[in-house]
Amino acid sequence: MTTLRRTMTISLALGLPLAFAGCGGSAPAESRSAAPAAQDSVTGGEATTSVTAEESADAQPAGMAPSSSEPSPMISGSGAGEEWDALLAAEADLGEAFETATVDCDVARDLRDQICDLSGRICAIADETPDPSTAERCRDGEARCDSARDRVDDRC
Amino acid sequence: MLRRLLPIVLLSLAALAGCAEDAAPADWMGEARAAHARADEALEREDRGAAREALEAFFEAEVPGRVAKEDARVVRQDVAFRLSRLALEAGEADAALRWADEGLNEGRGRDVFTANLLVARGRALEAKGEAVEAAAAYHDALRINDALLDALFEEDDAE
Repeated sequence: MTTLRRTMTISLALGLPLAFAGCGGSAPAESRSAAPAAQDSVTGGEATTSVTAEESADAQPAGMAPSSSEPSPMISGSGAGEEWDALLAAEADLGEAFETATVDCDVARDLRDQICDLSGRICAIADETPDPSTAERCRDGEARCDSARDRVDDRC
Repeated sequence: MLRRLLPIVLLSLAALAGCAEDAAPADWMGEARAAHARADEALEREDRGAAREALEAFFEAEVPGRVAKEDARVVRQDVAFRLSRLALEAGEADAALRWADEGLNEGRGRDVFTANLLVARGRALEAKGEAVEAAAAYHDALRINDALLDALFEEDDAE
């Protein structure tokens, strides 16, 4: 589930900006504004999240808003009860799937390995040179490598 | 990592190539795909010169005005990274560094494209004997990868 969602996220981040740039009749400026937002969604930026939240609130059907009036049934007619139950069951299944979702560990391990490989390379250079800034980068890299290992071990 | 993303990039390129409404960006993306394919074919027959020519020709070509800036950046950075790697494999550290810097001059993002170019820059600098500068480039790449890992877990927490 998560792998699929992650793939979709990355597809959206990489694919949609490219696709909109090519397929949309929009002006270049519109395409440019779309690309960074989509990229933020990959890199953990907040832009996409906030926009999504706002859009979600705006898009809420009027019938779903709190109201003092009695809500009218969304499904009416024969068999409505069964359909409603099926809908609720499907929603519950979906919610359960999301709750048990785990991070994409293949990508996480790739990133951890990259971090630690680079840290090792930096420290090898630091061992051969007296440069204090390289020594500092080595210490920082080692700390980030240890942290990456811990985070990946905890989650994967 | 890049291998994992490549099919997605190619799918996106294919989607663009098949889109007739706005031919210029689609054609340009198609040219990028074709350049990579020509380079692959050349490398299969161990003709590194032809591979580099194919990629260089694409990189030197003008980007259509309607291609979004960020889209142009990542596509050109991917080509520049490959050119830097080919140059380094040929023992041409100066050319490898030049291609890494050409790619980075397109702009920097917190993404694998920029991180790859920083690693390429570090390798080129190391080959030139400039180890301290190489360590700085590696560290910049490391920080991007660390941020990407953070983002991956934060995204999962948000779910």
